[in-house]
Amino acid sequence: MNGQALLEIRELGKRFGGFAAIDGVDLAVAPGTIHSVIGPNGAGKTTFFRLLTGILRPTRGTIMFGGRDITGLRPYAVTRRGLTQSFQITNVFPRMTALESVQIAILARRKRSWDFASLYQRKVTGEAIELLDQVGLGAQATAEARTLSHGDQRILEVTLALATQPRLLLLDEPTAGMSPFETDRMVELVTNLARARHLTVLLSEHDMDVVFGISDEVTVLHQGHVIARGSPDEVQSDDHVIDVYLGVEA
Amino acid sequence: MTLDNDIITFLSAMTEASSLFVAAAGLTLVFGAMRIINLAHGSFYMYGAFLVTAIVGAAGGGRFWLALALAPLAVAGIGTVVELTVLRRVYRRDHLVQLVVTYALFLILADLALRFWGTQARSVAPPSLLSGSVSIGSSSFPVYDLFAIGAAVVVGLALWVLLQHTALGWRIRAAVEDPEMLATSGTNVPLLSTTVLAIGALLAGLAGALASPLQSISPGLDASIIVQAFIVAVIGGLGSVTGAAIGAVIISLFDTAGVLWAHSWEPAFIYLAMIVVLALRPWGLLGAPER
Amino acid sequence: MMLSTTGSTAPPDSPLLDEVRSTSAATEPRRPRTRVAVRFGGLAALVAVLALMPSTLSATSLLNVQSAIGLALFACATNLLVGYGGLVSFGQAAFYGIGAYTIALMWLHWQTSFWVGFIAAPVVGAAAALLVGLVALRTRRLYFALLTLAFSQLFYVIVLQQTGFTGGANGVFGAILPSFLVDPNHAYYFTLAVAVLALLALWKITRSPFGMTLRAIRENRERAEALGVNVFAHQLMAFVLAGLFCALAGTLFVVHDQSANPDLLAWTESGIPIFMSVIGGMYLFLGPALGALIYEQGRDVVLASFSDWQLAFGVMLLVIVLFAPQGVLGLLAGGRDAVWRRWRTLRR
Repeated sequence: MNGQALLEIRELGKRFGGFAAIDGVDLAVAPGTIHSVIGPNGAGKTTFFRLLTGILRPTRGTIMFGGRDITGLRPYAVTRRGLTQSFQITNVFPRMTALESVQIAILARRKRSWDFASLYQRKVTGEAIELLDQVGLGAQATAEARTLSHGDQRILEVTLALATQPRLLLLDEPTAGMSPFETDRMVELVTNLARARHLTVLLSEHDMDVVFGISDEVTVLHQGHVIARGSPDEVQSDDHVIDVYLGVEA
Repeated sequence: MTLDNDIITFLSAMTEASSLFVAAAGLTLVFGAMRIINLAHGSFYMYGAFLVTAIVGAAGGGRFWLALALAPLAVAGIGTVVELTVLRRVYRRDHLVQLVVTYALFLILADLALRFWGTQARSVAPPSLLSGSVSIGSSSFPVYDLFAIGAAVVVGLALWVLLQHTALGWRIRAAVEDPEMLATSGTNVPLLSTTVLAIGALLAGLAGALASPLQSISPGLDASIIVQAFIVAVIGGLGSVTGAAIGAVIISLFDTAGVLWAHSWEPAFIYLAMIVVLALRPWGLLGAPER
Repeated sequence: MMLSTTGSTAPPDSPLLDEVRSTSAATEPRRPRTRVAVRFGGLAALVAVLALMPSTLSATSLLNVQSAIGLALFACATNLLVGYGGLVSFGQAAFYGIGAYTIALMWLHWQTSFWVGFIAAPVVGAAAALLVGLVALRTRRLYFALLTLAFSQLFYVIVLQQTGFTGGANGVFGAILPSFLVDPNHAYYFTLAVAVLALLALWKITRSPFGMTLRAIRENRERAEALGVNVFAHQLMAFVLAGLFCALAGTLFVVHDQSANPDLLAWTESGIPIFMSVIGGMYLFLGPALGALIYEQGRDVVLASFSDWQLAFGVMLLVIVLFAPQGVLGLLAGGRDAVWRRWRTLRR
């Protein structure tokens, strides 16, 4: 790791009643890297992401982003600081076109969602189309989101997150339910964009090929805490990790 | 002497509560089991009351008991027809659609009521067995009101038995609390839906029938009772019959207190109560938070 | 390939960019310039027709059209919340009534001129909407509808009971209107002018970035929030705007009726603009206006020949909601689109 971590999590914890879904997680993500979080089902990955984006409030611990404390901020404020999530379940605006969807993200970023004059649309349209072209959805700009294919919707989903120009992109199982072709396309998209925009990526995944193929660093969660962390090679050969995965999936 | 007055006041409040409870129980049960908000529930209530006047009027005097038995059944029949033809189509649709559809039913039923029974207010005298008053200390209290309170208690107990100790009741509770389990249990869900709505309509009709000697029956009764039933159901928790009972008692006590102490602001109190509950704890006293 | 990192943009005059740039983001499908022009021409013609009504209609018919225009504003303002915002408010009658009562009570107690009351009414309506919205918008969906219904009834009951201040069940009536507006033609033109300007403003709002953000919130609230939109604040603004325009519609009621009465605030009145929106079409801007026209005119037609207006209206609502959820205007628009497509294929 070089320099200061972009995202620094210390002693993060979340209890639901008597159950500790997250129990003392420390994590640091270096800027410009791709960092994966893996673990068996129920390890707490989804809860962890929800704590980062502000949908849930932690019961203890701190989240520092870019040197500033973002613990407990509301989701829209977290996004404003530069941490955006793309969702596991495709989470788009069904009856709005791809173009409009991207425009919304851009308008929000520029704090123009309070604008009551419609002239501003023109400027935003160009930027939105440019982004859609970059991800390969240019031809479907005027199609309603709900009419797009599953793979295209997932790409749109990631595009929306990108349109907020995040410093750190959170991807929750980006290749879930995808065919090998779509998976490759998504992986290529993520890595290319990450490199081109100096984006830091934190992702959770089940597809181990993807994880070990593109990650700079991997963290393994199990029952709410970290059991291993390091480069893909280190983690792959870690005995505890192998036990946990084999034990759960046996 | 003031103790007697207090007792009378309390009993009057309980009479009001009993009416509200039976009216709200059906509404809350239907919402809990089927997630449908039925604005026409007040119409069922009104039909129950009007049918009693019709049966009693036609037969003259002593047919109150017959009316009390027949009117709710007739209303249950109307409810069944409504469910089979209209409500069935809107279970999966959003609440706006359900509100519009049940409001349309409310309009249609209101109009038909005008046709059947005209615009004149009607009244019904209690049966001779239940007429007159009982002395409590130095004051008196109408016998019928006591009957109404007792009837509400019986209804409450009957519902409790139904829900806790019968197969149907188990299914209804499953529909309220754990719809997934119900879906996999092999239950005939459409039949259950019709049954629950019929029960809801029956309760509404019964509430109207029981209340008929206590008030003047006229068009507009449907609109006023639906709001009150909603308030009670919301405060108690949509889906909870016990909650409806508690809500009914709370509201009627509030109402009575309001009448005594701040007369001109009194009707506003219950709406304020509803607002406070909805704003702070929308699932009411005994409802479940995810609703 | 598509993943060029240098970022390829479509050439400056590609058909895609051209088509998209000629229209601002909208709920309706994309249309080229000529159709937009036709549409605006059609609307201008409609306004012209309405402007000619005083010379062609009888006094009672004119009053009916005037009433329909006022209700059209009420319905379109409500639809900002219901159709565009996805917020089913069953309490807009509260602001409608507040608008009417602001003028009426200022005249009754402080002999304020109508014009001052007319300016005050939307402000009071907006303020009331702010207070109600702060409470109501903390809840969602069903509970929001019930909460707004409760507020509507609360205001109704207060106005009804505070007889000393509000005149109670009798309402307020008298020489509220200035002599200028007593003339039926003046009253009509005034109503038309106010409604057209207000609807233009509303329309602008729906087409603006704010309007688009509101629709995004309707489509997927969590996603909008996750993209950086302060959902609560936007919804509150929409609620305040709706309250403002509903109150304005309330002032038009006073112009029409020269009175204010408590029934304006009841929950049954709150349902009316919603049903107009449903019947006319919630997802097109003028759908509710068409719904208002159908409601007003339909009521007269039905009442003339057979007295069961409620029955007819109820059946109409059922039929539309169950079989044609896009509303009458939606049906017409669908029909028109089909005709347009045929026209275009024929021209080739």
